[in-house]
Amino acid sequence: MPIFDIVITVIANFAIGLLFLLACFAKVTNFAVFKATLDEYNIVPKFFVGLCAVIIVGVELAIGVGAFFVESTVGAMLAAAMLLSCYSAAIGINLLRGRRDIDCGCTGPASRQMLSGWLLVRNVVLASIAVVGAAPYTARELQPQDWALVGLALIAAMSLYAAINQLMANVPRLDALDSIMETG
Amino acid sequence: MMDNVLVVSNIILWLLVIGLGLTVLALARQVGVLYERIAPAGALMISQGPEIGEVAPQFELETLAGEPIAVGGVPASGKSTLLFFLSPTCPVCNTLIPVLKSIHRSESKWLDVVFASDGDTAVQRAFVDKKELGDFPFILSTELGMTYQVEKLPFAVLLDDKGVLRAKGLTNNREHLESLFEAMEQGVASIQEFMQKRQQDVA
Repeated sequence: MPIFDIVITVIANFAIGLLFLLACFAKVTNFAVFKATLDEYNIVPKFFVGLCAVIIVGVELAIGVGAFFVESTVGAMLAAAMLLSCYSAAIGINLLRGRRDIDCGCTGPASRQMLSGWLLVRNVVLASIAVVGAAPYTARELQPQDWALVGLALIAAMSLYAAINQLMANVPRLDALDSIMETG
Repeated sequence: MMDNVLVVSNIILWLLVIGLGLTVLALARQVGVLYERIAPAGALMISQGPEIGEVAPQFELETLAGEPIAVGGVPASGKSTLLFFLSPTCPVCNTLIPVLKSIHRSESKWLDVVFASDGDTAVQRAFVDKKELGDFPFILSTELGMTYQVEKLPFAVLLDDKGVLRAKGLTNNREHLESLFEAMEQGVASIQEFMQKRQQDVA
């Protein structure tokens, strides 16, 4: 039974697709750092880290590309939700181990984002968007104004997402500043 | 008529939402930069701690393997020293370890590579084993890090064969590391100063 209007589905698909393409790009351009980051999570066995890094990049690319084609969107969305859940599990395990000081590796090394509970919240939101994108929708011919809506929504969502990421990356900097102030 | 009003208002609202989103992003970035700038180590990386051109403070320390090592002062070996501050929990540091090994191999005639970290000895031992750093002097010293005001890793310090501090800075990649050697050769404190000098020469 259709739940969502097709515009909502398309927005969800494209948003997740863009996200994974960008994430994949960041990982490929800094592959050595990504491998070291993955190693740092202490989840996969040492000998498997290299292969695992390649697999993750491959899956992210497949999701990113698949999200843009009608035939593969449902698969891509479900894969995205699952991959995000895996990331959340990896982050959650390290948070339980008390390791907040490792880099999350989410958006490349430049952001220097540390692990925190907020990443779990963020991943839940992203996974929900992916699930929305996989849900049945009312099919209809998309009009130019529908595409305009998709474009506007994507721009708004991306700027908001980047802003939230930036704010999360700011947290450890502020903490560092606080500790300097305290010790004088 | 009513429909038109709604469409127009919708377009305006979308533009406002996007504008606000971008504004929030810009603000968040500025806040992040501000945090970095007002943190003493971030802004005054070059001017904090021992100065370039000074004789580096001398430390009598012990390596993880239990051997005594002198850092700073005139080195008995007559070689320069590259002091590399790292931590097992810093991925960027890990990516530089092979680079440092290759630097050590190619420059061993005039350069000693020394690793410095601090924290739990067992964790560091495991790290040394994992990264095969057994051949290098590996120092655990909070004091050393404090002296050089190391706030961010990976951080490298270059001391010449007379024990004079020649270059230091945050090194995120091979190019950054090489820029330290470049700075030493050119006799400038940092690549920034080098650029400045060059600009003045041109002018």
